[in-house]
Amino acid sequence: MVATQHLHSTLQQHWSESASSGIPTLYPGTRQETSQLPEWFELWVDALSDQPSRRIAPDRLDGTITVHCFTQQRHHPARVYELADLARQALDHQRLRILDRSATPPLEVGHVDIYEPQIRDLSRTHQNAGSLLLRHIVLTWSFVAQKTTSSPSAT
Amino acid sequence: MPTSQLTRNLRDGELVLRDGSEPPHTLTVLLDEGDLTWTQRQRTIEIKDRGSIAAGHLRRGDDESVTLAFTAKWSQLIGKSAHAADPLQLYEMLMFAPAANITSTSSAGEQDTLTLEFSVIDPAGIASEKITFAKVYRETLTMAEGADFNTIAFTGRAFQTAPTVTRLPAVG
Repeated sequence: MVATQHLHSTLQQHWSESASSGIPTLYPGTRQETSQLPEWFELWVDALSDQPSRRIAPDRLDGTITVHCFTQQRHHPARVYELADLARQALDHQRLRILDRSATPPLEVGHVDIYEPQIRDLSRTHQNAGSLLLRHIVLTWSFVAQKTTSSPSAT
Repeated sequence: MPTSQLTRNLRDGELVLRDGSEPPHTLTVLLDEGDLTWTQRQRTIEIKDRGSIAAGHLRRGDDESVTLAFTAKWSQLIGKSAHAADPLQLYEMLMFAPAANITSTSSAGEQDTLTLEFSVIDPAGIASEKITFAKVYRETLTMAEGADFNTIAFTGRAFQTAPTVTRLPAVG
């Protein structure tokens, strides 16, 4: 099976190398005081599902990645869209090798295909809540992770 | 007399293609969608007596071959045809690609056919079954793109009135 541990570490590694540009990212389980941050990302793999398939079929895991982009900058309210574009550049249509980093050297165990995002602007919600500065965009990508295997079994 | 009341579903199935080579080339379809269907038809001639069913009778009609269809996800179309050391692929086997060296299960000069074996494993391990379709020939092969995966859809017929169903030896 495609281990969720390897999938998470692959996505987080790719994100840290390609999207953060010095902008802090909060991952699940991390805690950071954000009230003084001008901008930050949050990255989650928030759904994983196996589809009905033959017992002998190669492993395939469907899921979604969600990236939250937050800014609170009075003089640059459109900055949140720049963050959203950074996130899209990092993840749109990416094919990443899933690596088992516990092996030496890291072992390729599969790959993940990330598809097109859905983008939602939730800033208005925060304005209603009294936070006039906070801008918030949520991007959600669907992806498919597959174990590395040669497909049909033949002799 | 092992019996099992456990219902089966697509997870329990396994589709294998065999050709007429000795020993046969076999291909286990790993990426099929679990949508195999087949239909066994019986033709009957209704003889009515001046329009009356009550006074009429039935006669056996012509034999009808079995229709079958399945769909598989598409990884690559050719393997062995491109490089002899590569594994055989579903498309090239169904198409009898010359470079893949697939041999028909029918005699020379007849239509190209394969044997298709569909095994349904009993979750309880005691009454697994194998359904064998002999002389399966292709009617249509439809390749389609998809948002998540491309597919190969096969429709064809087995030149027999019904597939052969056998029980597999119990496991353990």
